[in-house]
Amino acid sequence: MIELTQVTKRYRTGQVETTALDRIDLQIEAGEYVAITGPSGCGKSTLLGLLGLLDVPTSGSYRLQGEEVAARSSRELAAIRRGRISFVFQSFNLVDEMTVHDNVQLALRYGELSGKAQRQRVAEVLERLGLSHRADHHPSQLSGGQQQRVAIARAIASRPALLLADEPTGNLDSAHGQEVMRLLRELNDEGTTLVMVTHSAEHAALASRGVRLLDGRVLVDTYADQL
Amino acid sequence: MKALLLDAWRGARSRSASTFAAVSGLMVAMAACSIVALLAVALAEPDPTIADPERIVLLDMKGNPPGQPSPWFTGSPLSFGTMLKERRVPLDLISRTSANGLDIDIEGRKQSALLLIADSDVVPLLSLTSLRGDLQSTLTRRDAIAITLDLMRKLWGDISPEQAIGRRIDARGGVYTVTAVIPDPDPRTPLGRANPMVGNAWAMVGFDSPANPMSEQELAAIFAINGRVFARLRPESSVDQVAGWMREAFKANPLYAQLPADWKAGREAAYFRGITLAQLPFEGAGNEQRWRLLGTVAAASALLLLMAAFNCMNLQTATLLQRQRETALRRSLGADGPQLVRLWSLEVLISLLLAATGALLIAWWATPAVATWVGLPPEQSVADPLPLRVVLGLAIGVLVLLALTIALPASMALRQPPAPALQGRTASEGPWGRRVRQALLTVQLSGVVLLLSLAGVLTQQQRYLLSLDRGFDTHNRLWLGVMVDPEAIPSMSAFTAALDRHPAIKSWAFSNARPAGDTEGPNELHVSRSQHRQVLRVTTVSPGFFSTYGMTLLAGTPTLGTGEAHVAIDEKAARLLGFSNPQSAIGELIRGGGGFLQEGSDVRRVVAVVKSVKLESARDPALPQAFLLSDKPQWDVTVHGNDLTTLRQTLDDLWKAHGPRLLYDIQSVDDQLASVYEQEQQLTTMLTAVALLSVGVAMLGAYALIADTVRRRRTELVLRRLHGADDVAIIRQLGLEFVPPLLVAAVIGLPLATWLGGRYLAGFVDRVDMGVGLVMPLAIAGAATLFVTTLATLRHVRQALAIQPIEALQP
Ligand SMILES: Nc1ncnc2c1ncn2[C@@H]1O[C@H](COP(=O)(O)OP(=O)(O)OP(=O)(O)O)[C@@H](O)[C@H]1O
Ligand SMILES: [Mg+2]
Repeated sequence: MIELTQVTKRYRTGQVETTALDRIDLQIEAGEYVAITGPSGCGKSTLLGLLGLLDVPTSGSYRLQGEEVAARSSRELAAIRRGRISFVFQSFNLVDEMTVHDNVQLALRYGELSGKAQRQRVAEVLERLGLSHRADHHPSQLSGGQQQRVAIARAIASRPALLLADEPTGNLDSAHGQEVMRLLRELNDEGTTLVMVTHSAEHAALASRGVRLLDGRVLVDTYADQL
Repeated sequence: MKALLLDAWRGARSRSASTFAAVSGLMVAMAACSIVALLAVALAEPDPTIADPERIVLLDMKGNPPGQPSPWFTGSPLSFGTMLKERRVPLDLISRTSANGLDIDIEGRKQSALLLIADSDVVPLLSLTSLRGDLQSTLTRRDAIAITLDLMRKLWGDISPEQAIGRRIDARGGVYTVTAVIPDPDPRTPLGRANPMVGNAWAMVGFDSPANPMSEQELAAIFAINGRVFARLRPESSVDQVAGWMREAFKANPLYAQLPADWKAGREAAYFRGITLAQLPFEGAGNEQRWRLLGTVAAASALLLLMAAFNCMNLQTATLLQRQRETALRRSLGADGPQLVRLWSLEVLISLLLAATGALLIAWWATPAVATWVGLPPEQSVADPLPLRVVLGLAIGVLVLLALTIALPASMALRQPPAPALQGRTASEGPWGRRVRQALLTVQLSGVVLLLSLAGVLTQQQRYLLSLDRGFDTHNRLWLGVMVDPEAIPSMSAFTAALDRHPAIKSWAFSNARPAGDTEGPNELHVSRSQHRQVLRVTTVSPGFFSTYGMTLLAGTPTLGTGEAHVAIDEKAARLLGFSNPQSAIGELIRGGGGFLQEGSDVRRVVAVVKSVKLESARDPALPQAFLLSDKPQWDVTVHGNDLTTLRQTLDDLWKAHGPRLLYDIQSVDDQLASVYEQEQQLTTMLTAVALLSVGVAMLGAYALIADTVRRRRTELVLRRLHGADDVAIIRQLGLEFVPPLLVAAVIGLPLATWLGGRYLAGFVDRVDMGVGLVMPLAIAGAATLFVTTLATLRHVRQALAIQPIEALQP
């Protein structure tokens, strides 16, 4: 599904140039559950951003489902991304001014679904994540775990093929973290390809594959069944 | 206190850019209000040389003949002075004054002066002083005259008042000895106002002086406004009693019985009142129009101030929300509500005081120029020193603004419990804060739509007024006017012969009124042979008048008669006098020469009919016109040529070479026309200026709203981008914030502008076509408001479009 070849990402701020990713080669098959780990600043989020087509590599090739996407315009990337790739973030990124329902619906706004179909889909995912009774609440009225569940609801509402999660449990206590991990596991079982950045070895162990980065390079790439 | 001040100063500085924008908007608005206030204070000020103006009254009368009520004259028949004295009413120092012209013969030329005829009691009453000699005794002597410093210099050059005493003045009625030299009058003096050509060249004599041209009969008249009567109220009497005393005196006078019966039957033939000198600056037609103008500009400036205050309020709400964590921290450290409010107030106060100081500086610097431009005498100081009243008013304004600015945001901020903010959760203000901001912008945009529309309506009407076809031409024409007793205009034959000869002058004419500038003139009842009775406005002109002003002759030729009076009338007059067509009026005799009501016995032969002309201002309907033909020299000479510059030079040269030595002035006829609508022009200009300022202020408001929107909704925009929103979708999202304010502003502003603009136009008989004069300005104002709103939001829209979805990954 994903094929990165010699992907490099450099940032330039003023005189300083940072190489966030350095000639990465990585292949991820459909249905995999990949945990990316590594110390702070090693390039995990950068890698996730590239995988999610939020950014383009400085050099190298990225083939998504057989299609070269490394040198596309942001408009084209948005079109490819739409409905296919979703995100879950450490800081939830929920919109305070919108209700839970509207936050979830946001993911469907720019797709093909009609308004009615959108509302139906939102109801479905909220039901699934046990948030139906919170649909009219605002994010600030929810606990952290509930907020992250809303974010997950939003991420899966468009039924993406690829779900990218950047430290989804980073802001949660262990009980809520466990719950989120269970949800992600479930989604992967249903066939969603999952790439998750995490600091927790325990959570990483739940994935079927572990990629460890150091200074922008892949240090270790192991499959759970090899352990 | 010091710590608090430092805290506040740091707070204000840390938000310097937005503070600066809000403060400068406020400063401009405050400056506009201050300028208006300074003008108002200056206009309201009575003559400062007069002691106790509240206790000095002026007798006022308003004629009320059936069908033609007049305005208050701020004057009365002089006979009321005599009558009230005889009736022993509780008034002291009752004094009559009357202004007249005086031509002084000196060294072969004539020096024109304003002659003030006054009872000697006026000296203590109005605290008049003299530099040399005794003014009061001068007014009791038949052969004595007092002169102002200015007249003294115009007569004898640079001499001292001392040297002027005892000199002789040769003028109407004989030779007078200067027995007093008085200072130049204050521009606000209630004694009178001279033609600019005369300026401060005034002379004063008593009523017994032979220089007084008024007859006994004129002095005794009870229905002719021929001067002013002043008096001091005794301690026990009040100004409201004056009306009663005047009415009683009026009705007891034997002349009252001679007034037409229908003037008196069951009604008042005239109204009376007393006004104090403190009140005088507000009375009279000219003053009233000026106050109306100032009132309009004041209202516009107040609206501007409100709009600017909204920006501050807006800013403060946004700031306090941004500072939730700081506020929570201060509260956790033990600061209570009042302490926080004090800190915030101080921060706001710093901005407001900055704005107020800047505003005072601007006002101090700009008001003198504005004052001169609206016609206040340049020697009257309006802003130096700044009147305490204005400074205090501004201080009160600052306090009100402070309360207005701080109340809402502070109560919102204090209602937030500190705990969540300290836990890192910042509550949003909710939809409520956004609504408030939108509502504030709505008011601002309504203000812009209203002010721009009105400025447009006024501009269009002004253009129309100046281009209106009044039946005569004003371009390339110059007027030369002389200052002289109209009964004694000297011969100008050498001058007119030179005009005839000069190639640059196509034609010239005498007239006793300026068609473009004199919108009012004498009216006389005329009777035609068919017994049609019609009041015509009468102007005396030379035969060349019609070609000089480019009027269209419909029938006959304007020629002088020998042994009979010839008259030209306009088409309207011909129709109203019963002539079926212009041609049929030619050769007919009409009778005039009486008054407005009485028939006269002068027989005049109609020799020409011209296309209807309008000499009246656009505020009044056109009167039918009669032009008495005469080759006698008149006050006003008009010349027509090809090029104004050479024409002006030629006219000046010819006058100096061949004209009599009189005070004279040269103006273009276009300027005369413009001066008729000077007040309207001033209103248009000031309103346009305020409208443009309001655009700036509202742009700040729109800028604040979009900046706040983009900041507040950043996460949302990032997510929209993440989920595939394109540029159009983002712009639509931001635009939605502005749709309600713009729509509501149009719904409020446009009808209000239609109503006010319609009211303004309704004040004119001649008004611009509704499409061009009302609909178009409104449409342009609406479009301009939309445009400037877009312009103000451009920067942040571009910023919002540049938002990258990757931001979602950055904590
Ligand atoms: N927009 C950017 N501009 C400049 N440098 C950047 C940018 N984004 C990331 N970097 C740099 O790239 C490197 C990798 O950053 P990245 O955010 O991918 O790290 P990370 O592994 O996600 O760290 P953490 O675990 O702290 O989230 C860092 O050195 C960072 O400073
Ligand atoms: Mg990261």
